[in-house]
Amino acid sequence: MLRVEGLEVSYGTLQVLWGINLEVNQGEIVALIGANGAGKTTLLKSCVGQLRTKAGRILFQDKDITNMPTQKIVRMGLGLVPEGRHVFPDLTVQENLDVARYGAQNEQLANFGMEMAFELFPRLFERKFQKAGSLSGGEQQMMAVARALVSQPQLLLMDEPSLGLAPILVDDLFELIRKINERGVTIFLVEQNAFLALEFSDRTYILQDGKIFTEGLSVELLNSDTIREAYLGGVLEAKDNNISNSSGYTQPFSRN
Amino acid sequence: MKKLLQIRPRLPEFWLSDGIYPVLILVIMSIGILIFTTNAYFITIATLALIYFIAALGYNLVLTHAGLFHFGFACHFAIGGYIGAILLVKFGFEFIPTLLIVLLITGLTTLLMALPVLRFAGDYLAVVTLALAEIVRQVLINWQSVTNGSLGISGIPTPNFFGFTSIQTNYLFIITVGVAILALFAYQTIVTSRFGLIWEAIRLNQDAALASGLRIYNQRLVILVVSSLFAGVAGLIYAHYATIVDPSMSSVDVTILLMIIVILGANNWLGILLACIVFTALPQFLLSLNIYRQLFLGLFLVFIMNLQPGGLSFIKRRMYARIQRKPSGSNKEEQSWHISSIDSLPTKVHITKEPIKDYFALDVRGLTKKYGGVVAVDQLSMQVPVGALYGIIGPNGAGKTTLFNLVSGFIKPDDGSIYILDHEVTKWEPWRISRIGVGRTFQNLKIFDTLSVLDNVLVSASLRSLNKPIDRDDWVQTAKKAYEALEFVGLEKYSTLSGGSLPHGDQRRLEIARAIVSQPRLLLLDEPAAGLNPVELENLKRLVKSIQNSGVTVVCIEHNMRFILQIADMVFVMAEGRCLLVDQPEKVAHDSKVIEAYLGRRAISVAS
Amino acid sequence: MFWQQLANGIGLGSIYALVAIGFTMVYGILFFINLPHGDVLMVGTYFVLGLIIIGVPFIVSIIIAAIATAILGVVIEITCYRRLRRVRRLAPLLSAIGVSYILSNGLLITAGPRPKSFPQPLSGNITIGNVLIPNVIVLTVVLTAILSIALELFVYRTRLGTAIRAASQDLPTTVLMGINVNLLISLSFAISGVFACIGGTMLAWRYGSVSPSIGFSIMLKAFAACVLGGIGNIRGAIVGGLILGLVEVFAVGYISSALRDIISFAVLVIVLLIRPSGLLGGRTEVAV
Repeated sequence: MLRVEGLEVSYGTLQVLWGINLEVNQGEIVALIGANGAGKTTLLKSCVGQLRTKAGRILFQDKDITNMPTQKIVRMGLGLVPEGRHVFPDLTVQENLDVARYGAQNEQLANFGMEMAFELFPRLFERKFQKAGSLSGGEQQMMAVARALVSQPQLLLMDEPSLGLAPILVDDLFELIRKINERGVTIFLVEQNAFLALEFSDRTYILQDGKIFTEGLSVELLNSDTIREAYLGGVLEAKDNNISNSSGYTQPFSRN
Repeated sequence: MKKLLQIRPRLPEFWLSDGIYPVLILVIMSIGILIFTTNAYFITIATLALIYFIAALGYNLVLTHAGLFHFGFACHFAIGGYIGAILLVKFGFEFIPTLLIVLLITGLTTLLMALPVLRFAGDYLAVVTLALAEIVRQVLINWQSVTNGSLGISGIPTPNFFGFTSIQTNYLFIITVGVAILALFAYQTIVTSRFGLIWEAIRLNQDAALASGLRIYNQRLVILVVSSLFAGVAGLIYAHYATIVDPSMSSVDVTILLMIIVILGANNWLGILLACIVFTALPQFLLSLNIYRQLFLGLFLVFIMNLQPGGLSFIKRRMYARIQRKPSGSNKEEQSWHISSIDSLPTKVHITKEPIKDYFALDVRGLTKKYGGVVAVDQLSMQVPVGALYGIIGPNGAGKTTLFNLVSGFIKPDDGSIYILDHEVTKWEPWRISRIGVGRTFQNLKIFDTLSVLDNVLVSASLRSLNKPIDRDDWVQTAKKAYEALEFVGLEKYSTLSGGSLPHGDQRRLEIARAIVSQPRLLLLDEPAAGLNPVELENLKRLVKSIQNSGVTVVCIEHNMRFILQIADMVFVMAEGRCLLVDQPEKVAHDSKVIEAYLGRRAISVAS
Repeated sequence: MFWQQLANGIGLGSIYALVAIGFTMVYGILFFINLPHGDVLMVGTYFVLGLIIIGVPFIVSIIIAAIATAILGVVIEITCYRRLRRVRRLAPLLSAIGVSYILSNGLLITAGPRPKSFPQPLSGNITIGNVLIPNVIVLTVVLTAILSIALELFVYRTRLGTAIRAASQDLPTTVLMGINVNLLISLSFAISGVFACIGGTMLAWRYGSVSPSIGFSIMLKAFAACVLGGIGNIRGAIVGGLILGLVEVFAVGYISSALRDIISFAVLVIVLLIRPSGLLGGRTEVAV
């Protein structure tokens, strides 16, 4: 459904992505994990046309969408839940969802999308007339996901959905993501919380320094040491005991 | 020393040549005009062109150097003209006293106007200054008793020097040339001085300028007042020229004309002069089309602005063309930085090694910062001993850069206190914190991309000597310090190239050079390793260690764990605005809480 | 005397409110100061005059002219500003000034420099107590009220209006909703044009004449009104306009008519000093 070929993206002089190749097939939940600064958000933004690419192609349902205007891509059936939620703070929950109707391909689908949104997120239905800016962090995240569903996308991109959420809410959210996937929406999500992403996805790509470090079935990656490598550099001796030694923070410093 | 002067021709040794050479050209041109035309008409046009030239020089300082959208510049022109007119007509003053008083009063009025207005930036400033000029115009129309209303003040005599005057057109022309020469001389001196450099820096990158210790508000005030003096003098000469002043001198038309001249002049005096000549001569030849003048002007403006998607970028490129670009494609040898190894002490940067003090280099207590409902930094405490190298790590959104912004004064905390080197700096402004010895780099590079590499560093280096008069020796010393900082990081070969043309890794080095040139005692590095290739990373490690060995306390935010774990003495782990752990690198790398913070809760159970 | 002034002030304030609304709509979405707003206003007003002179009935003239002005606004946006949207420096402002020159000079050439008299739509007065209110002013206030309420309903009760509000809160995310933001922007300019035309016509009623060169100072007043009430905010524009109108009328009545404009602008500067974000809040760019 989504295929990225040789993607290269730069921010001014800083090249962030180097020759990225990946693909997401229909019905899957695919995750992209990696340390910060690796380029995860850059990749998602390039897919929806929010960033210009330097080289490479992005294909959505076999159509070339590289550097296409964002609103066109969205109306083709690709949705994005951006990092940091970005709800419209002075609009009510209902209005936030209404605005998203423009992305659907016709009125009927939009109605269907609204129904789905309220069905999956009953708490939002209760707060229909509340201003989105006054919702709690967790509710705003729910709002952002629900809003993305209204346009009935076939592929939903999600940028760090767990960011800033309390652990319980994170569990709820990921359960919901699974439910959304069961309804036929393909999901491609970017996460910093590696194990969470591995647990809930079918396949995972690991991004490091702007390149794909490795990819594979999430189940297999979960049990290997590869992730520690990618995140913590596996620098010093690979000790695998996890006993912490937190000695408080006013350690007097002594020069040796 | 000779080498230094070669690459830095702006040293005062050459200030005379920078000033004399254009002045000579002007003198020659003027003599040429006098000799070759006896046509009074042409001389009159030349006089008007020079009047605009004087005003445009001042406007160039404000618009191009300071980057301030002063859309009401004409008001200074009008004020100068009217003050002059009043003194000349109602009191019969001679030229020189009038000139001095005009300068004084123009400067004072600008000072008064600037105080409220300078709070604004960008578009807002544009409209506020428009309104200001309009107010001045209305005052001139309505204060009949003094200004004679819309009719203006007429009957202004020709300049009177100790009793001598003449009504010949040549006479006024020569005087105008004389004033223009003085103005040009002043302009060149200002622009090539350290002030010119600092103002460019402020325009290019406010945050970097702040971090270098510049007091932006004060500098803007100075620029505004100085540039208005040019306009005021031009207004005075105009009064003599036209023999009448009226409120239209403060209209937006005048400002727009000057603006176009300045923009087309592309930031050099000759371009401005040529533009003045064109724009004075042209309307005269199009006299019959006079009523269409504004229409053409409008079409011209819209067309030119839309010509390039970047608007004025093609002119901008010409403006900075004299700074060369680095040829693309760096070869392998350039990658070896000339940094001595960790073992030997390098330092041409004369940072004295501090003995262990009884205060901390950085002491943060209970620091809290909230944004709406989100707590970015939560009761954070941290003590960094003098001379240590601390790394700060943590997942995205942990509050690391917020912490740096709080420590360097860019944002103020809601609660808690910050002590740097035994000063309490909790509520201080960035410039003040910078001046007690704090250097800082930024996550998103903040170098001055259209200044040369040396100038980038020179801005920081110039700070100490801002208060001193233009002293050649001091200036040379400053340039030397800047050059040495570049040598320390290995960039001295690129001194004359523009900052923006360096590849990414070198720009990061440049930022570090900028941060260390003022000999900080505490250095804050925000993700210095971002985007560096392995060779550059190795070099960066050695550079940072060298800096530490010179006695500087270094605190470094990084995502590249390998990098931090290899150079830091201690690592401070942040998550959700709080301190998770402070410990030695090896212990941190294997601590279960750290792993959990980065990889997720289930890491422990699964990874065993 | 006081009540008379009050009535006058509300009359003038309504006009300023209408003009300010047009100005603030553009700023709300694009953060762009629409310098030619006053000149667009004058073009629209002259257009109304032209139609009336050739015999078109008053109401029809206004409707036609308003539509024409809306189209003018959109055309200007597409040709002169659209390419410069990402460029946040001098270029958009200069382009705007260019447009202002083109419009005002064009008007000067076609209509001549001398003011032309503008016919009154209604004559006569109503009297409340000892206050004499010309019917024209009543019409002004009523018309402003109707238009403001209509706009309010549009912006708060329709999906398109909600989209505009969304765009003024977060433009990139609005694009992410699959909305063609260019259309929204053009719509804002169109609405701005309509309000400008009608506002200008009401100004012409009030003073009985039109002249081509006052567009610029009208724009400055619109800016002052918007800033007073909090720029980017429609309700703020209304409040700001009313206050500005009242201030002007009282200044003229109790101080001097000559200082009218000075006082208006001085009030602007003072308010900016005390509360840069205006009385009803909003967004400002404040320097360091």
